[in-house]
Amino acid sequence: MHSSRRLAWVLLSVGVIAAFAALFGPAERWGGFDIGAMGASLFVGAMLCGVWLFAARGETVFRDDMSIAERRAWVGFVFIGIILLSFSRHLWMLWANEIVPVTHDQFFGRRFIQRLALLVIVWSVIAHLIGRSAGSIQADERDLRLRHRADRVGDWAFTLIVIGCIAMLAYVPPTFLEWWLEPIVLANVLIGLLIVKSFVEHVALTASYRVGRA
Amino acid sequence: MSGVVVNRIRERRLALPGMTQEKLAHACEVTRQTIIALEAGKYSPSLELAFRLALALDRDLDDVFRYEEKK
Repeated sequence: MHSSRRLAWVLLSVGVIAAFAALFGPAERWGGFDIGAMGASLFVGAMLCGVWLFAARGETVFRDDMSIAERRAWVGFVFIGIILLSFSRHLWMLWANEIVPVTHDQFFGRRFIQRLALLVIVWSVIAHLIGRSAGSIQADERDLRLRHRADRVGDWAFTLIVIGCIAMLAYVPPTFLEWWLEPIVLANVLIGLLIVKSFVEHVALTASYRVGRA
Repeated sequence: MSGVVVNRIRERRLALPGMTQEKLAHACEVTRQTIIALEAGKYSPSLELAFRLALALDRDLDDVFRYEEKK
């Protein structure tokens, strides 16, 4: 395995573990260490190292038989997965603490917005760096066909989730859904559904590429 | 009735001196990975790409692609 690829796997592993520590770390200190803060710092460090890796040795990070579109799909899969995890955790924390937000400022903490913005910026930068070596052909008809197939899977997943929501609204007692039906919460649940749809699309897309190379 | 498109891209490409997957991909405006997938029989091209491939390989379409019915 190429050294750049090995480094990418190390950074990915560190990044995922750090993200879990940042999101699910205990509120109290462990042996004098703030696991959540350490995880967040480590996560930012892993992402910045990732940007450096793609900027300096981007062409050797992925296998040679992976197209630019496939490389972007895998990077997207990782980032949208972390965004989904982060969003779900944030929603869960608010629900568990029975915080009823009135404004968006109350719903989204500053740290959450910063984290989300950082993820989106780093994702965009890495996607751009991946495309640098592509020349004029960034994606061809095969990539578009796989993308279209993945979009259809995403559409199906979205439809099923919406049907699930309808069934929940019909059968779950309204008192249980009180928090979820607050306008700001509901608006953000819909954003969450779009994130889920995008995640399903990325799973389908990366799976299609993987199967195509098998 | 169903069938499968079988191609002889690899065979025809290797018959042309210096025609690498990269060069063929560039001539047909696709990625090298698509040429790899085509040669491995894991992807059926659009009619337009099939014509472009035949043109780049300096062959007739039916000399590069063949439709086989499944029995």
